[in-house]
This record gives sequence, C-alpha cells and structure tokens, in this order.
Amino acid sequence: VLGRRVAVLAGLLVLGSCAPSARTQGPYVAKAVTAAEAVHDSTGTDLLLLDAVERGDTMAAYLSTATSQAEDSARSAAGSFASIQPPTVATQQLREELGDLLERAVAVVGEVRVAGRRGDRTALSQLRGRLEAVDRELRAFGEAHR
Amino acid sequence: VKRLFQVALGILTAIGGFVDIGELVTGSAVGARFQMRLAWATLLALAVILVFASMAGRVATVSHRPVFDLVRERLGPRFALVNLVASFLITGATLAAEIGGAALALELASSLNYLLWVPLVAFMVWVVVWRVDFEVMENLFGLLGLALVVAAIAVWRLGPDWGDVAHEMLRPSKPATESWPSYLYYAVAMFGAGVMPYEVFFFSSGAVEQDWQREDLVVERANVMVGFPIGTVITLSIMLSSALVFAPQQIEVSALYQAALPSTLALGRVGLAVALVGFFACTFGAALETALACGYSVAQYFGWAWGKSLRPAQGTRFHLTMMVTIIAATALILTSVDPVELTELVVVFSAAALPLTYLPVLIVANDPEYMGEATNSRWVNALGFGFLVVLVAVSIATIPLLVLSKAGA
Repeated sequence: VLGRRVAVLAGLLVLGSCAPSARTQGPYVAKAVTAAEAVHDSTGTDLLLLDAVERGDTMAAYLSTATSQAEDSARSAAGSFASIQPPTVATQQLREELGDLLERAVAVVGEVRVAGRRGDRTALSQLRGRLEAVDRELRAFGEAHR
Repeated sequence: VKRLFQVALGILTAIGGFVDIGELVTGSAVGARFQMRLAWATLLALAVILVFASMAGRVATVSHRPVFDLVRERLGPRFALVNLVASFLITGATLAAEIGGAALALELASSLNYLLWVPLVAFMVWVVVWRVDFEVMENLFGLLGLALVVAAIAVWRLGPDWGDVAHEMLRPSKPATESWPSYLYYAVAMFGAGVMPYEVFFFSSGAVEQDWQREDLVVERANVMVGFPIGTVITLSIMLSSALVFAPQQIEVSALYQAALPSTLALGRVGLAVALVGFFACTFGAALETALACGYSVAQYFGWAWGKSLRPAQGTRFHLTMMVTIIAATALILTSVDPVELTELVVVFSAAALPLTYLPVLIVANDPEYMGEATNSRWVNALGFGFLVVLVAVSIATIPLLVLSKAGA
C-alpha cells in the first residue's frame, strides 16, 4: 500500500512539473512581471554595453560574449513565460500583450548580438533607438502590473 | 615588496576566499538590488573570519599542526569524520564552481565558450598544485588577484554620494520592494561567502607549509589583518560599483559579464582588461585554494604525509586525493551546470555547516595543552563564543530562508 501511495505521489509530482502552471490571475500576472523584468535586465545591460561601445571602451571578445549571453537570458525568460498557460480570458490578453513585447525585445537583443559579434559599431549605434524603446515598454509593463 | 610578500598567504586566502566566482556575481547582484544595505553582512563576515582565521593560524603556528589534524585528536574520529565529509563535499563543489569561474573569465577575454576552457583550467590547477612551489603560488596568484582593486578605483571614478553610501551602510534597512526572506537570504549568502570553511583549512595548513614559528606570530597576525580587510574592501567595492551602475536602471545582475561593466564604464578598456585579469586570478586562486584544502583535509584526517613542499613521491596519497578531486570537479562542471548558481548553492549549504568548522577551532585554540601561553585570551574567547552564536543562528536559518525566498528570487 505504501509503495502504491509513493508511486501515486511521484506520478503527481511528475505531472505537476511537466507544464508550469498559474491557476489564478495573481500568480500569472506575477510571472508576467518577472518575465518582463528579466528581459529588461538584458535590454538594459545591452544599453550600458552600447554606452561603452560608443566611447570605444570595450574589447571585441568581451562585447561578443556579453551580447550573446544577454540574448540567451532574454530568450530563456521569454521562453519560460510562453510555456505558462493563462488561467483566464483576462490573462490571455495579458499574455498576448506581453508575448508581443517580449518577441520584439528578443529580436532587438538578437540583432545587438549579431552586430556585437561582428564588432559593427555603426549597426550597434543604429539599434540604440529600438533598444531604448523596447526597454522603456518593458519597464512600464513591470510598473503597471506590479 | 618583501613585506608585501610576507602577507601574500593572507592575501591569497582572502582574495580566493572572499572574492571568488560566487562573490563576484552575488556581490554585484546584491549591489544592484539592495545597494549598500547588505554591506553589514560582509563586515560581520570580516569580523568573524578575522577572529577565527587568527585563531587557526595561531594554532598552526604554535603546535606546527593544522586545525584538521588537531580536531581529530581533540574531538575524536567520529566528529572529525562528519566534519570531513561535510567540508570535503562543500569544498569539492566549490572547486568545480571556481574552475568554471576561471573558464568564464577566459570566455570573456576570448569569446570561446567556457566549456572549452574548463579542461585547460583544470589541467593548470593540477600543474600548479603538483609542481609550483607554495611561496611562488601564493605570491603570484595572491598579488595578481589584487588587480580587483580596479573595482575600488572604478567606484572612485563613478563618484558616489558618500553621504548616501554611509547612510545605507550604517543604517541598514530592507528596500520596500523586497521581501524579508529575500533580504535575509542574501545577507546569509554574503556572510557565508566570507567565512567559507576552506579558508580556515587553507590558511592554517599554509602556515604549517611555510613553517611559521612562534616568532612568526606577528607575521601570522599581519596576514590576517591585511589580507582579509583587502578582500572585504574589494567585495564592498564590487557591490558599490554595481549599485552605482545597475540600480538606477533597475537591472538585476546574474552573470559574470555584467560584473565587469562598472569597471568598463568607469575606466574604459584598461579597466575592463584589469577586471578580467582580476576575475581570472581570484577564481583560479580560489580553485587552487579549494583543491589544496580538499587534499589537506583528507590527508590530515587519515594521518597521511601531506604538503606541497613534499615531493609527489613522498606525499602520494595527498597528491592523488587532489588529482581525483580535480577530475571529479571538472566532470561536474562539464555537465554544463552553471558555475554561478553552483557557488551560490554551495555558499548557502556551507553556511548551514559553519559551526562544524568553527567550533573545533575555538575549542583547540582554548586548550592550554596544545597552545601553552598562546591560549585564547578572555576577550578573544568572548568574541569567539559571541560569533559562534551568530554562526549557529545562521546555520539554522539558512535552509528555511532558501525555501521561503525561493533561493532569493
């Protein structure tokens, strides 16, 4: 009997860990804010890197690694959020709103990575505007839903 | 220069102990998230390590036997075995994280994935512990680690409002946006990183390796009083530089490349290059320290011949232990476990096991049979017992805080 109970418990744990869940609106919104803030960490760090690039203060290898790791963490945070199922209709709208924002943010951070790897300072400077815009939106999202 | 070399053991112990891969990232993360409101945890760790490292060094200098050796004799093999297993697992895992940390520093300088650097770093660790003279090792890596003073220079260039800094340090408070479990969890992480058990094993065994005599007690004290405060200044500078650069943008720090940004923004390419040298030196130094601490603890428990000054043929089991530990640590880090997350976890678990290391040091240093006239004075005992209460409280609170704060999330 004990063995069966342990097996059932283990099964439930495995099932529970398959898909991240947020059963009510509150936890889902909290996870959305966490995702927006995590992606903002990458966009914000990229902006600081651009400051250093514009002043000629970085080294090619460091810039390449830093922009690449920033993209990895942004992608990971966006991916984790995308895998959470929204529990209500209202949170479905939130998911679409944030999903679109995260997608744009990851795209810009990806472009920064490509330009960073090439050491293309002109391209990096041109990306600043888009990066700043998406960074502002991410911060605004976090503040609005916190 | 000669005087600087005399305190190189203390500097290497402190740079490798206080400022390792976990501290570089955790210190930066804490600065970005809490500014200087958790500086008290690092200062408390400094006070504790000053008292206990000084005791351990004195025990080794007077008795010519390192702490682990005496723990087994004084407290019996069972207690010493529990101590050995706990400290060996923690130190071995730290070794893995430090090898990964040194590889991450090389990745930042080369853009080659850190996993490609891991085997080379591990091999270099083995070569140094196998072949390089103890004094050359401590002088080279201790002093190279001083490159991290760049963080203090970066702070000066970034120009903080010193009034605000002093206010945050002297009147610590929890930020409104943070929960108490998170605040206390990071306090434990900062405290635990400063008092890792391997610092005591390495420092006391190093004192024996260098054949310190009673007349060297001044040198021993100087090592403690110079080395550990330097480590603390570097840690606080990393925290403050991060607070100045990341906190205004509400950016959280979770990776090593971010920890190099304040020096880059403040001092340009030179700052970045020096910071990367410092990152490598302190993580590599910590890898050496932990590899040796693993060898020391096992060899001293079983009563084997040990010491870097011994030819490998004379200290076969000591060297074999280190070699096997280095291989196991390398295998662990090659599974692509994140070195930063690994150290953070290790620091927390080591905080839970702190009394196991520090209680025996206090008992042995207080035993006139071993220490003679150099037995703890009353005020050192009072400090030691007071700090032991803190260590016990930290060890009890650590795991609940880990769970309640979801590892500081």
